[in-house]
Amino acid sequence: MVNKLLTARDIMFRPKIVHPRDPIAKLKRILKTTEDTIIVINKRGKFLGEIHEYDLLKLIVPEQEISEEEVVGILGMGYDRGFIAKDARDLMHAHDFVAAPDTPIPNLALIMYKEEIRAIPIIKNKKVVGVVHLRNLIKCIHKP
Amino acid sequence: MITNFLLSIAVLLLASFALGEVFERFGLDAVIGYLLAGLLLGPSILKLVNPHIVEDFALVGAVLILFMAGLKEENAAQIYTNKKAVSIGIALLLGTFAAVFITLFIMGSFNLMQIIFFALAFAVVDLGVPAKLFLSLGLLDTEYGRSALNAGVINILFGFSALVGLTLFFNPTASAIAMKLLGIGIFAGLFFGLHALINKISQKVALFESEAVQFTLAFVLVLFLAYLTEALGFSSILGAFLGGVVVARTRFASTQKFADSIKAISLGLFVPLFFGWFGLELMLWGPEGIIANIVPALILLAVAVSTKFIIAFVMSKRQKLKYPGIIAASVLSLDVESLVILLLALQMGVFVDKSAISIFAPAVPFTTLIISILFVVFRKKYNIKERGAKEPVPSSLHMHHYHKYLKKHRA
Repeated sequence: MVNKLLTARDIMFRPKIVHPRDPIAKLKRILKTTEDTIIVINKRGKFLGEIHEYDLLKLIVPEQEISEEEVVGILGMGYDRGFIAKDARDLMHAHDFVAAPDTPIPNLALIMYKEEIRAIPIIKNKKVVGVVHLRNLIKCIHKP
Repeated sequence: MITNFLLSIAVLLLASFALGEVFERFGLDAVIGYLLAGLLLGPSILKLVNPHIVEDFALVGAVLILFMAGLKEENAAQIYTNKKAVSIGIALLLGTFAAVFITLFIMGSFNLMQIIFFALAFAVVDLGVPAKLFLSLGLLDTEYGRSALNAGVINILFGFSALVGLTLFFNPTASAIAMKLLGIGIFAGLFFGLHALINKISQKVALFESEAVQFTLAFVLVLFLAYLTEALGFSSILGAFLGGVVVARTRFASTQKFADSIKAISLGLFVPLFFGWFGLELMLWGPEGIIANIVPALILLAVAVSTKFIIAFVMSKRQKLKYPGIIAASVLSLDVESLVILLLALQMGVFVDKSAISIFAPAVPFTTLIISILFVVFRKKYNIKERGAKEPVPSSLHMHHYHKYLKKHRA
């Protein structure tokens, strides 16, 4: 059960923001705080994607346990740079699932559930004004 | 010979998976296992499966391979900024193309178009085998691992761009070229129109509740583009690749569920069938067979491998990249990318018989063997240690052995 009158505006946080060329060390510094998802934007403030702390696992898992198809696919016309990441753009999960500040909470939950994402940027006038994390939504559940 | 369609598919799929798995266990590419399964079941040895029965399924496999490549293409854009990789990748393509072209020209057994397609097939590199080797040694996330991958991606992208150009000039009468140019115009309009509108369209598609519907619509779009390119006089697999590029821009393509659906249907079904079919088409005996064509096959292999090695080694050294021997060894593999080029040439009627496949086929296992040996040699020479290797944990231990094991590892 959730309060259906609540909207994204009521629970959103100021997002932790990085740019595509920011180094991994900066991501690590941010993720040491309470945040678990970082928002990546370009110079004009446009949302590009998100980095969840889960994405940094790619830098730790033993390479021996990864199949080459996960990295290069079948035809090598590109590869997953997450395993050899140097900066934020290599680890970023690019998507464009965003919401407006007046989006009701059940709708935010539906987007996260359906699209398997962990944070939704809240956009106003094409700029990121906040972010709703999975944990913010969970706090809204009122059940004994 | 099995005449039932379903049984033919089942037998080919089972054999491909079994041999693919065996090759994977030995650290080799599963594709070689799929090819070998086809060769064993085909007309040359066991005569169990007729290649024509599974041909249509294999074509869908080729379409899916190119579609998946198109989905990954977006990722490749970042690599263009790496100047060292661009120069090595292009030098490899041009240098090897020229060397194989001259060799085939001197041999004198092929016409100009056949020579060009052959030279291109030998000039592109494969990323699967070197990626597997780097991963198995824990060396992918190193400067030389990255350099090898980047140079390979650039080589493949430029190689396939050249392939698109080649399809235009095959059968080069003025009217045919004019018709193809018109076709390109129509297709380009449609492609860029879709490219621009796909986000809006995909928002509507995303409204469909079921991921299965999204997947079906994406697949229909790819098949439609594949058909359209074929109708315009190009190969269907070119349309499939561009379909992948378009679909990669959709909202639903970025979801894990979509990636999993594509992966399951492609890697689990159509890709093994495609390579199994390719193996079925291989012949061991007769004038078009591998045995009769082994001499030109080995000459071309030697020319391509030595040219690639020299170019990659010299350029890596000049660009002061670490371990040039490892980088040079990693660009020698020939595999899926070249097979797709030859398949396209066969589809277009560039080659009239199967001797082209027979000449190329030995290159796949031989280059895999060469690259594996060179990796061992250069690792020893440069004293490169395996990184992040896990301590082997015995699967069944008596308790006192287990305590000894714990004591050792805690210490």
